[in-house]
Amino acid sequence: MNALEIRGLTKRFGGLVAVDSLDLVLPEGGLVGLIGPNGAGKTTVFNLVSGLYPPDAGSILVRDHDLAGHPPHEVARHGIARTFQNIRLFGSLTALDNVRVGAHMVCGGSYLSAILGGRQSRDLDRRTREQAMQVLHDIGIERYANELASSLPYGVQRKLEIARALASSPSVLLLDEPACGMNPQETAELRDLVSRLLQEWKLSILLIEHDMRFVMGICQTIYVLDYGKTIACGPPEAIRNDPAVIEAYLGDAVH
Amino acid sequence: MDLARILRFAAVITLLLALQALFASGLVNPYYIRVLILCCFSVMLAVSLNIIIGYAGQFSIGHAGFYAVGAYTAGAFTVYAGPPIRQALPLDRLPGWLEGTAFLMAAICVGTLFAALAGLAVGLPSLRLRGDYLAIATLGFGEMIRVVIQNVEAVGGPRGFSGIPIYSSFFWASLFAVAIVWIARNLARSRHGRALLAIREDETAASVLGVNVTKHKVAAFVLSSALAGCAGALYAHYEGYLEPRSFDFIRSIEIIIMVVIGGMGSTTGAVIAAVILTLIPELLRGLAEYRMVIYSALLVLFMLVRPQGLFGTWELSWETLRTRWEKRLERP
Amino acid sequence: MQEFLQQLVNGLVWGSAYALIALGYTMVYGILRLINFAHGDVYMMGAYSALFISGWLTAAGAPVAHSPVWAMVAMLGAMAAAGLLGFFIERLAYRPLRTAPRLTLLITAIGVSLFLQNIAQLAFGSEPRSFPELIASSTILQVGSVTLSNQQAIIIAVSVILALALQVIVHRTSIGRAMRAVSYDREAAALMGISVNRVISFTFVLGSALAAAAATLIALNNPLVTPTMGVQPGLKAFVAAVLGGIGNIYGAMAGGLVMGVAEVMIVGYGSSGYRDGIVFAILIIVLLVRPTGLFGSPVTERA
Repeated sequence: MNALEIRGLTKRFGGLVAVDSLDLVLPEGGLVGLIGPNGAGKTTVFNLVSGLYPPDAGSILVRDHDLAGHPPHEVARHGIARTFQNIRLFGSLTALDNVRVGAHMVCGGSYLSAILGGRQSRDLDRRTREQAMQVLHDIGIERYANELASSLPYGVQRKLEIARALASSPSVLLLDEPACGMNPQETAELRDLVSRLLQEWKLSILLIEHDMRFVMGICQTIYVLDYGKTIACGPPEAIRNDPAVIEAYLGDAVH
Repeated sequence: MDLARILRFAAVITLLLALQALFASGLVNPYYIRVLILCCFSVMLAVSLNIIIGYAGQFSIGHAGFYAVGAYTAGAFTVYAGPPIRQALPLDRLPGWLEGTAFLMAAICVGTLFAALAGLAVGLPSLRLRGDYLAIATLGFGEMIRVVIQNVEAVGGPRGFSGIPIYSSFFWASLFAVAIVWIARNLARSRHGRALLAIREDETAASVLGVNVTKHKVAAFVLSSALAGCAGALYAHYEGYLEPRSFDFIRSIEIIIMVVIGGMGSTTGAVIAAVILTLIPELLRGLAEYRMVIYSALLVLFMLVRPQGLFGTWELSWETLRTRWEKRLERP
Repeated sequence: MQEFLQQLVNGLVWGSAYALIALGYTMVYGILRLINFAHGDVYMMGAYSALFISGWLTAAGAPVAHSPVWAMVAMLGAMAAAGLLGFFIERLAYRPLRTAPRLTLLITAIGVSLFLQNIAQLAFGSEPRSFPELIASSTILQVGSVTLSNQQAIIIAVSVILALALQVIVHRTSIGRAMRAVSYDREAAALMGISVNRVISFTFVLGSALAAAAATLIALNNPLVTPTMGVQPGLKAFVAAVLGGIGNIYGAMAGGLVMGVAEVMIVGYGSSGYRDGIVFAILIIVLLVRPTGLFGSPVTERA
């Protein structure tokens, strides 16, 4: 069974076809990379899958539900979580509260009980607090729990964004350039973290990344996008030697 | 309900009742009591507006409109529905204060409900707008509400609405002020409150985490309007007289100023700023015509010196006090 | 029909004054993203300046009442005074907050507005003062029963001239180019060597001067001057700016005219009780149907 299946996904901005009938399969427990030159449409794919843009055509299947055109909060309810290329944390909330917002869907509790400060609401509050601390602990950043998100070091912010996504108990995680701006040591840590997400959290991960060594090292399947079209798709070693991919990255200079 | 909460609730009621008894005894200058009650109304308005501006980050300049809806509908209820209800029910067997209280509670329900409906009617269409456009739209709706009231003869039109029975008192005003602060604080500590903060910080990020942005914004707007309406109902039965001019956009702006000076998002700040800003014009009364000049100059100076407001987003609670204390202990 | 045309003429007269005030709102918003609440009060101060200048001129023996030249002097003087006021408001109250949250700036603008109203009340008293008659009224055009007075003609003509002059400044001069650059991207403009502060100051001076011109023109027709006279026209001109697409100069002019005509029509044909209401009804409809105004370019936000 596939965790996520994209069929014929298309998005146009005016005359520009940003994503052109993309087909992509993310198997259960799989790690799929999405690469391509700048402006190839990778982040647009993420925005389409997470519901931020309505697609012009195509379907996005998650467990037999077609999520194409659904608003983001409904997509999230089907177990899809994501991070952003330019980290989008809730800057003036603490790291802990960022993660608690991530747990918004799973913690329940009615509005009325919330404003009347009922026991149910307070218990839930305590429980989500503990759960959020646990997630921070698992990611290894629990000592930053009470710091404001905007004041955290860059690498921690990246991890916090992942922690926040995890708190929503997703089955599919979309990571948009998680290694961007990281030093080699942080990248190595991130690689470990991604492996743990696959093994311990049983997630299926779709990953956009520019760091080729990172992508080639961990992905099982790689899709290469250029001008919105898939120009290659396959295991890392095949992609590495694909002439179309080399041309897309290096341009005509190769010939 | 656990015992500690019941005790705390009882303590608050007892304290407010004791103060009410003191004030009723005539030992305290009525002017001071009046100023204190006005502070309660300011607190209710500032704290309720802070839910939409401070928590959800949606800038509304129409709060006085919802205050007006609450005040006028509640006033109209007691004036027009009061006599038939009295005829239909044997209320005269009740002691006078109980009858008044019953009517006050019913009027508060009416005012709160209508203000909530008005909030829904305004919030649904306008919360699609962002930032300045939302501000302008709410300003427009607020003024529309006032203009409509001005043209309804049954509530006095531009002359004002008089003859509303006076059922409210220091006790009720202060009790509801405390209740509204309590509601705002509970909201802030719940997942719904955190969802609002997330929307304030980054709508897109909040939405991909499963927060239904529109629903939460509208809910916050309705809650905020309903609480303003509750304040309005109390005000109508405190003054006994309403005039449209006291609900114009200047009034909305006064409430915003309280929220901003208190520090947006801080209920503690909203309470303190509401009290201070209600007291300042009273304290400056001796300066006669210089009063408003000084008030406005102080406002500008304050914004220049402390743009984040008195408290930023800091909140007074046992938790924050403890964290601060622990930090102090950690330092050698 | 003739009554309708007469109302239209009256509406255009009011509308051209609203347009002049709206220009100030729209320019400042374009550059600072600030709803300058004090603008209506700069208009009020402009009216007082014109009042005092014509008073002094009369005292000095100038034949103010019947010479358009002296009326012009009064207007230019008021424009200069208001321009200076606008300069100082920006310099003292807004510039220190250049990096502060926008809401802080907005509250400061409200504070400045209250300050100007109250200082005017203190200095000039709260009872209305009456303008001397700058230009004696006469009918210069009559078609059927539709009349156009010389005052109305002057209001429209001067408004048109000032609006055209503004167009020339914005599109044909280097400071105008700098203004457009700053409103497009302040940081990039600064990197290109544009003195952003000077451009902002200039914008305030320009906008305030136009408001004072509007005040003098309105005084021809409607000679009462009070400390709170700026509030309602300010609000309406602001709505006009939003109507036209805030930040857009043509839009502000068109919005002003629409606003003036709509208001006069509602008073003429509907109920004067809803005079203020109609303005906001239009505003809300426009915002909900086309939030960027009639002429504004749609603002898209990247996810």
